[in-house]
Amino acid sequence: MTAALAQSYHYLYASALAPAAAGSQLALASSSAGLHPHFFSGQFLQPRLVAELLSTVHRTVAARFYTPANTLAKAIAAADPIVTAGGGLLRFEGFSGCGSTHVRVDLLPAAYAGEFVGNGCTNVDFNAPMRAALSRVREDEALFCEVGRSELALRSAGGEVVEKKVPLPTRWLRGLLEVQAYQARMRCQLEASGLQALRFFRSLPKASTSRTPLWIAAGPQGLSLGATPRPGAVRCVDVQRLRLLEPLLARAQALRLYADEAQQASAWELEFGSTRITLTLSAETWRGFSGEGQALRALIRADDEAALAALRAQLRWQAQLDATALAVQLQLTPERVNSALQRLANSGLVGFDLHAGSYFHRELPLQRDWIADFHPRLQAARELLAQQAVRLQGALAEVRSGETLYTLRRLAGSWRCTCPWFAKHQGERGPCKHVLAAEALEEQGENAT
Amino acid sequence: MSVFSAENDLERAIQAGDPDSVCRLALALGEREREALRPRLRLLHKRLEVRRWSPSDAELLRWWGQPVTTSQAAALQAGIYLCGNLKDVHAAHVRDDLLLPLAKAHRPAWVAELAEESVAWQFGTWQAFHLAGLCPRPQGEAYLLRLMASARWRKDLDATLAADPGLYDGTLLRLLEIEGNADTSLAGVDKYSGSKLGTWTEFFLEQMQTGRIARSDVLDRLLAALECDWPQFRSGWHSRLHGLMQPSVEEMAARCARYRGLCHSRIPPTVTLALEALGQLQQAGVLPAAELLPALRAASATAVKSHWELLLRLLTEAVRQAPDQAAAAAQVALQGLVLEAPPLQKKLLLFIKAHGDVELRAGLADYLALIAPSNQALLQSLLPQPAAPTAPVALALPPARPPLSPLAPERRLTPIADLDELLERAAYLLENEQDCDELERVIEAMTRLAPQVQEQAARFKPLLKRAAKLKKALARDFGQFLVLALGGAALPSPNSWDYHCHTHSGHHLLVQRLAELAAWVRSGIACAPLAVATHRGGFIDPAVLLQRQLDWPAALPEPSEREQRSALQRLAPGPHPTVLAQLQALPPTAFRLAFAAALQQPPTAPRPYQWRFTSETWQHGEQSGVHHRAFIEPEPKGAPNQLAWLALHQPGAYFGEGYREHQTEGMVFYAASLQPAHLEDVLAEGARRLSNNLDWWEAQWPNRAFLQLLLNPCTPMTPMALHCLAFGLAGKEPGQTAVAVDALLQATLQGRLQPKAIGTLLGTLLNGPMLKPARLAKALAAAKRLDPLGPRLVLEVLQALVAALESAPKDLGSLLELLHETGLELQAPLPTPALERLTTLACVGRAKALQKQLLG
Repeated sequence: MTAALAQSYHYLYASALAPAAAGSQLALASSSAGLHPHFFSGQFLQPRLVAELLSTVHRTVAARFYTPANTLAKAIAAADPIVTAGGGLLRFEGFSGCGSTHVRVDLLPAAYAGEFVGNGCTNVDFNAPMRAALSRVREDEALFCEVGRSELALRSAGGEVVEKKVPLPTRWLRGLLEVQAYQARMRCQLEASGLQALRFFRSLPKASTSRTPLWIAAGPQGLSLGATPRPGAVRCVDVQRLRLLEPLLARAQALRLYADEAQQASAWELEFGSTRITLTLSAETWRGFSGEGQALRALIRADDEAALAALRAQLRWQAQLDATALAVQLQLTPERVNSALQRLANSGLVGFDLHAGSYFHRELPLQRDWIADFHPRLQAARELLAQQAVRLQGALAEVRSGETLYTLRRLAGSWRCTCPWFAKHQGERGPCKHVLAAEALEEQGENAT
Repeated sequence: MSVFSAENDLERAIQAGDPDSVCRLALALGEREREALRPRLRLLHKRLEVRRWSPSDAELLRWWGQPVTTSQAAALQAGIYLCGNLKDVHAAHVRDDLLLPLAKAHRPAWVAELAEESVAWQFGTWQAFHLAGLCPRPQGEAYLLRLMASARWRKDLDATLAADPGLYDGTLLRLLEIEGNADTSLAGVDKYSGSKLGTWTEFFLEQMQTGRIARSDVLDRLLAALECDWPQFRSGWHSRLHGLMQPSVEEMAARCARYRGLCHSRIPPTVTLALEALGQLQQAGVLPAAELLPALRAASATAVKSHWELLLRLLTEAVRQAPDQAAAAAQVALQGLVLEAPPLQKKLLLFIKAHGDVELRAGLADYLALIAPSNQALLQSLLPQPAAPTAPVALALPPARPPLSPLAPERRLTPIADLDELLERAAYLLENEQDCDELERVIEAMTRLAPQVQEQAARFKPLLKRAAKLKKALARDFGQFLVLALGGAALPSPNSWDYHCHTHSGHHLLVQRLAELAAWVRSGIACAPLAVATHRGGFIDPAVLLQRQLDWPAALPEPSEREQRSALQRLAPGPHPTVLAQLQALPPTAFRLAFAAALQQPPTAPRPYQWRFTSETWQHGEQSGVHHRAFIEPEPKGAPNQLAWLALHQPGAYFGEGYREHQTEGMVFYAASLQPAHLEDVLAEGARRLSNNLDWWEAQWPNRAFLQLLLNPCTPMTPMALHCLAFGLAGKEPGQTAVAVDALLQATLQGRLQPKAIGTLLGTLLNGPMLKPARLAKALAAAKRLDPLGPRLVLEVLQALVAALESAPKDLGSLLELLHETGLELQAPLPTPALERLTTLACVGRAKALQKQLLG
């Protein structure tokens, strides 16, 4: 059974789109740990596009591309999207109910005329009436927006308080954190113009392809779809998830496809000039991102508290965290900075911007104690180390787990295990607990010498 | 457990099964006294609850003294209602018929809450509660959904409304505002209740006609619901009701902004509704072009051709009404050029030609690559500076070549080096049963390293632990092999027969093989089994087989006849004169003679039988269908080939039809590896399965494995391979089709397949009822996009297809359009056989127009 943590949302009013003097006013209610911060007040310069982008975020959080058989009858409440204001950017983030699809909309400074009252990260209320109203936004009408309200406005405005309690499964929370680890490993593999992207999306199968991995590659007439891997191709399972982007394609200037080396996830970025949307898809819809464990290695080496603390002190809602510059500034090696950034990402303190190729500061509005020690494999590996269950013998290692003795062998610089987890995934979903413990012990030995 | 003993009058009344007395006694008590009774009553309920699933529970009978009667249970429920709280009442499942009299006698504060929470399954009861004035009308969605579901029986709905006219005060209208769920929605109720029982659509139309519900209220709510972009099935109900209401121009004009907003919808029927409404407003002259065009620009994101027909009509009218908006209208039309529909593209280009300004025409250059070849000339004429014509690249398809030799060096299975690697690969195999090449590698290593395996058997413990938990056929069998090889007892046997009591002879072959191999490993004597593959796909290098036979340890019993036969069936084809000479120089044995005979058989020697494919129509009462089957001709008298014999007499038996754990991709690959040089038998079974599931009426994922066999560069494209490919291309499941498209392309690029062969087969199959031309056209269009040689391949396939047609199938237009456009793209005229055949075809509609164009 999946454990769930109850996330409470408390909004002083419901987000709404209301007619204003010279157009419409989008009031987004904020909620973060009992506070109702006020971040932004201004006007969007491409109202229709922003309305569609926000609708896409709403549709993503409400989507569920995979329903486990045992939860078929259970209604899964959608978690509210997250907005980050910092470095002159407004970023709206959402995660599908099944934990297989992550969406982020970046509104760059050219997308708005307004001011940032404050920087920070908070949940915002997205509701069905607001989304219905967004569908009526027209390009030639002004769209004003405020994220949160000033205290004065809060006092003068009435409105019904909105309270929601959403049980967030731990796998969902883990997935939300794991997405950053994947994004940080991705590289841009394919690029297409807006027109080519539109043509490609229209050629995608209408039915679900959740059982057959498809490979997207550059073909003679733009992007093409095949069933076998080709050089430079990007793997994608269940292209249904891409339908979320369909309403935006007519306006897109470019499409960029990112993928990690092991083809375990892909990210689809649509560029609109002053705005961007990035849809990150897990390798399989049933897998989500929670069981991936890409950051486990960084987490188990969590002994560099000095680097972590130094880096944390530098977080000031920057839109980009330049690892090289930070390394120079903090007099640390780039590896230590990168490792610390990975750990911060796994704690929900930074996100990753694929377009910029760098992390950015954003603190997920989740309870800190939820985020700590989320990974069962990490905990199990630590237990193995504590029990001194790992024995290294050159290119071999033995790990005793309960009454079972697993044999590990080193091949091409990495450990391979005989446990069912490793046998099934071959290390593509992160190391198993045995490999993790062996690596940690090996590193401890190296450090000691 | 002691015996129940009533402690007070209330418990005695419960034991007597007298709910009336329970009521009387409880109500006579004060609130605190009633509350004091609550713990005992809860405990009593908990104990008696056992009766629900075990009425004759011995312990319960002993404690209660008798079976719990219905009246005793009712009396207890009454007691709980009167003395307990909301949670207790929920837990006690108080009967519907008890609730109303109880609530009339005693009305606790939580009754309204109880109504809200339990209305979903006690709708009638809570409706009665409300009518009796015991609780306000529940406000939650559950109440509305239950009300919605009541229309499944229209008479019930009429009775409900007659009894509760208050429903007209907004509640009925709220039904239009909720999406519903998988069980209940307006669309679902109407679709599945059937027209005989009455539908919500009819109900709302009637109510509006009689004036009980205002049209404007319904209209507003319909539009609000459509703005939510619910899934098409659910929102389609709202757009249909809107259509049936036939709103007047005045009604629509008052809601013009909402209709414009609906043009942004991603639900096609909603966009249709919006465009039609805007069309009426435009005709009535109440919608200026300047206001209409932004909405049309939003709708231009649509990929639906019929939307574009509507859009073009609206754009034409907009330009007629406001000529100054011509350029803006042409800008909207530009968006439609992305659609892969040559006739539509032509209409749009003509519109742009008439109304586009110079700037817009210059922008058309971006669309050059997207415009169909038949429209290229028109597009060029619109460009301010015509682009240089691009001559077709003279790419030719590779000539026919034999498939790659199965003994090619890159196909050799690298032996496992040591026990450490063996352990890891064996663990991998337990989790990845579809990797049959790895199965061969591991088996080879297990037997070769048998002494070490026995010596270090303890290291296999984690694998043995896992083996006992596996269920999939091949993984489980391999697990069984490990257990037996290491001296363990056999695992419990899986079912070896299907629902029709057919035994799995094929599966038995595998089990027998693994049991024999396990015995050799258990002996601790290193050996090289004869039938273990040396190359991918199950092939054995004859030189290696000869060496294995010579090296067979004397301490082990001779390999069984099954093992010997399996080894010979896996021999790689081709002349092997050196091996043959060595073999003939050895003293003859039965095996060596058979081995020599196998080597002397030419690879292209005719088989004693051929596979044929037919379709049979069946009819049972009103139902009819087509069943496809593969059969052997001539039918062999004996069993010349075990696989063929099995496939002939027990279709699917080899793969375990009916027994799902045996229906895995791994089993298909394993079956293919048993006689890898003669895949015709396996592929015949594949063709049978694929053809009988073209419309994907049942999810049969393992069938994809038959198509994956065609990706193998060693697989010759025999008649049954071509059938598999044809059915893969024409199937509905997109993943399966994608594999077939890749197989078509790869087989052609490798020279294994000539487009004419598959084209002719597709044409022949199109003469029957199996294939749908539109689906086939889509698959071929995908092949065209995949590779620079794609257009040439598709053209040749289509030319052969047309030449093989006997009559024009329905919807031939899609294929002719692809042929026409590809021919223009490559500037290739139609060859004579196709031309002559096309002349004789009686085409209709779009196909007829294309036929004319193709015939020039």
